[in-house]
Amino acid sequence: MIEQTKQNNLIKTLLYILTIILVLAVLKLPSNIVHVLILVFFYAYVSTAWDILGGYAGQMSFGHSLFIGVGAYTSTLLLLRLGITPWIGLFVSGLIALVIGAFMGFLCFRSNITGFYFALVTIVFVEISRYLSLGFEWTGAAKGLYIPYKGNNISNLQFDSKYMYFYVIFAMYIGILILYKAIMKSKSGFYFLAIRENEEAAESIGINTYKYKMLATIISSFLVGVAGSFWAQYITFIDPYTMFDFMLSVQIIFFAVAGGRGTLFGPLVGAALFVPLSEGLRTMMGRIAGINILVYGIILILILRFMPDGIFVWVKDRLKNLSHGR
Amino acid sequence: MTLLTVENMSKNFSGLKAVTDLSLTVEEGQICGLIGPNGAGKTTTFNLITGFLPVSAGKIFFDKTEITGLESHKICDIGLTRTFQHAQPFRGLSVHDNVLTGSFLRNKKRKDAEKITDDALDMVKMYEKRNKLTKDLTIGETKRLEIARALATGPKMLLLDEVMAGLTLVEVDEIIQLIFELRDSRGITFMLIEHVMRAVMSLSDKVVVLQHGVKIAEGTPAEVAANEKVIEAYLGEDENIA
Amino acid sequence: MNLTLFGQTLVSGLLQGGIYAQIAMGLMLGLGVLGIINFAHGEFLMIAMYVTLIVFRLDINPYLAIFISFPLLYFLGVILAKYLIIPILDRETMAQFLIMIGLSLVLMNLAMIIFSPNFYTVKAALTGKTLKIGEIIIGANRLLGFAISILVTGALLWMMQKTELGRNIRAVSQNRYAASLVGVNVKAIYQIAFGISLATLGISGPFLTPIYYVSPNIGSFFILFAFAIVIVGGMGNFKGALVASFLIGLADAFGAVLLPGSTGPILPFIFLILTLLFKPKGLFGGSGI
Ligand SMILES: Nc1ncnc2c1ncn2[C@@H]1O[C@H](COP(=O)(O)OP(=O)(O)OP(=O)(O)O)[C@@H](O)[C@H]1O
Ligand SMILES: [Mg+2]
Repeated sequence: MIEQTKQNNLIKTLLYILTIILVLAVLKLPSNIVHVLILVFFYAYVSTAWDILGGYAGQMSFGHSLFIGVGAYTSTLLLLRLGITPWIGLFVSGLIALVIGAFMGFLCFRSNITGFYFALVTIVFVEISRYLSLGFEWTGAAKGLYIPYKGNNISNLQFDSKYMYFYVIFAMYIGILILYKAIMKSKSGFYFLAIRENEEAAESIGINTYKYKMLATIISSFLVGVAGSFWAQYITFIDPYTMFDFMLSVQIIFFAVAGGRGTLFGPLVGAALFVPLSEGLRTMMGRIAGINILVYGIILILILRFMPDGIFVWVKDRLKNLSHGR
Repeated sequence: MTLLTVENMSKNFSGLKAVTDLSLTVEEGQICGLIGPNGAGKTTTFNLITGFLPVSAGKIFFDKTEITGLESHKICDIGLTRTFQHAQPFRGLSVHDNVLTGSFLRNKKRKDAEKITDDALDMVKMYEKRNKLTKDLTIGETKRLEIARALATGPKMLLLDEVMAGLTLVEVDEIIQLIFELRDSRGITFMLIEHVMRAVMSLSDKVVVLQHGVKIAEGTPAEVAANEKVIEAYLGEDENIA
Repeated sequence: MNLTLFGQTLVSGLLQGGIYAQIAMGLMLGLGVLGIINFAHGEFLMIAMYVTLIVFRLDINPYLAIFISFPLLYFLGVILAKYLIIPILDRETMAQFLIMIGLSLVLMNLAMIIFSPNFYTVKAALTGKTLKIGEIIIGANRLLGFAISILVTGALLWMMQKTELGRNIRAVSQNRYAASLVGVNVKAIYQIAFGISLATLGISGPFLTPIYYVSPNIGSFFILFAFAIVIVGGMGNFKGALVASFLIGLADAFGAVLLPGSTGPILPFIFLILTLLFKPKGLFGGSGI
């Protein structure tokens, strides 16, 4: 026991040092690598937010690309149509995503639609949003929206170099880690887990399962909405097909599941392993349409079939068995 | 004082009458046994009282308030909690965390909840096993965990559905002791569904007998054991009454 | 909207609904028996359609593709049930669902790699022919596709109600354990039921191909409507799903006519949301085969 805490402390210190080196090194790294790092932390953030609802409270949402899209569109429209700074847009985006999430949750949870029926409803929501955003000139229709560059200015949330974006998303990720950890230790966290494990038993000990499923939904959708705004600011171009995209939802879930659902660092592990892989595949085999997602599909099946708790836990178990001599 | 009152309660499952016109009362501090052959409607009765199923007809009162149609979590909130015939622990959680989840009902702060948890675990003699995963528990331990989790919600009344099924003789005696202790030291009222007759007879102040969803007898253990209808209902059953 | 347009839309909505019904029924057979939503259901229709495309390109009557697609899909169903689905039956819903999504992605993108993302058309004997009832024009291909779909649906329902196999399938879907006690080979039923669920697509596929474009995305086009049908119909209720299919088909057809621009396809989904708002358990809540 004491040996283990010592070991854990050592690992923790090493992690802190590594983090600091990473954060400093970003200044010197070539911009394509910084781009991949931004992607990693963006996905880690969004997957962690998904995990509050999906991994922790056990409600399988495929609607999280919807929240990214809503966030991206909200802040961008506020900026382009009303000239409101993305810093305010960020927050408004979160709120609008929250409202949509709450409506989705209300529709399903009040009549106990869970499991894959809930998943199906969330998929339908993504479809509706895509058609809606395609249908109106005001939202840019199929052409999408383009955020013009107005110069390196923190009040516009626009920077001339990639590393500033990295620091923003990195800070957001640290923020969500702290929040996630706080939830894990709190009453709500335990209630989420109870609901995931057994809703009947949860009700029997006084847990208002409807209320707590709603709570998980609105926390999760708010956080993802905020990330959507950041994303729009970073890529400066959004359109219905890349935002309200089922595959984007699948990716978000995939990172959390591959790394380990319901764990603090699972989503980061998943994103750190597979974002570079995905980017690599895209650049190497970009000419063969579909190969990227094909590989995703295969890995998804294999991981779920053989590593039900994710790679992180799988490796840990293997290591433990090794050190126990078998 | 009467704690639980059931008035003319019925339940139909698309034609099948699982419970018919059932009325009963349980006094504060009483231990009430609910017995009957397999499929008599005992578990259904618990499900109806605790709001896990809607009643087809009838009314239920607990602690002077009507609880008919209330959601299960609200019923637990006002002090009426149950355990399940097929134990339903939170499988992914440790023993301690299972019970902690129950403790949060009346304790918002983690520290207070922890105290209640340790106390409940201690009560059912599971404190030593608190770090175990529920999948590594024996049947007896799982049942005790369910009691501890329910206990942690600070109930006035506990409905126990066959907590002694599948236990060894020694374990049965332990549970009997535990129930007496909880009643005496904490004033908890009990209603128990039980097939282990020795336990029902020694524990209960009053026994209600169901058959085909109908109450066929009610009284002290001795009265019920001598009742013609009850003996007839149990004829051909494995268990032997008395 | 004038009367002709209304009639025309009504008819095409009903025809579309019949086709959706057949796809949703197969999906629900798998769901009812195995308790898993086959997310890749649409991709199996896609396979049948590509088989038809190949047969057509070989200058053979595309309808004859049924002699390949029907046994092929049945066989695929049995194999998949045996090696992919039965082993995950006791896993949690989320894992099951994600594995099925993985399967869908694999099939869709394999098609994309093998056949390119292009859209292909298949011409059959009836292509270009139409039927006129008053002012209303019905494409002959569509009518045949509809007729075959209704036949397949009818055959499936007849099999479930009237045959020994159907009784066994229902027994397994109601209570695996009890069915095994009375001597039903549960694993075999799983495989056969899933095989049948896909085989229905093998039958209708060749007749649907001339109506639609063949492309890797054709499966997702159908599957979304099938999902909507399953939910609107009452999550597992066969009769409900049958009615819901026509309602969704109508919503689809009227959406295309009534709603502006490219927002047409949302009408069936709006219908779904309204159903959940006002009849949260679906139009015919509760399950039952
Ligand atoms: N949710 C339900 N839907 C349909 N029928 C049900 C349901 N729950 C119970 N039943 C039926 O109601 C009757 C009473 O069941 P119940 O579980 O209450 O019996 P019980 O007295 O607890 O029996 P046991 O001693 O076997 O636990 C049985 O015939 C059972 O099949
Ligand atoms: Mg029972």
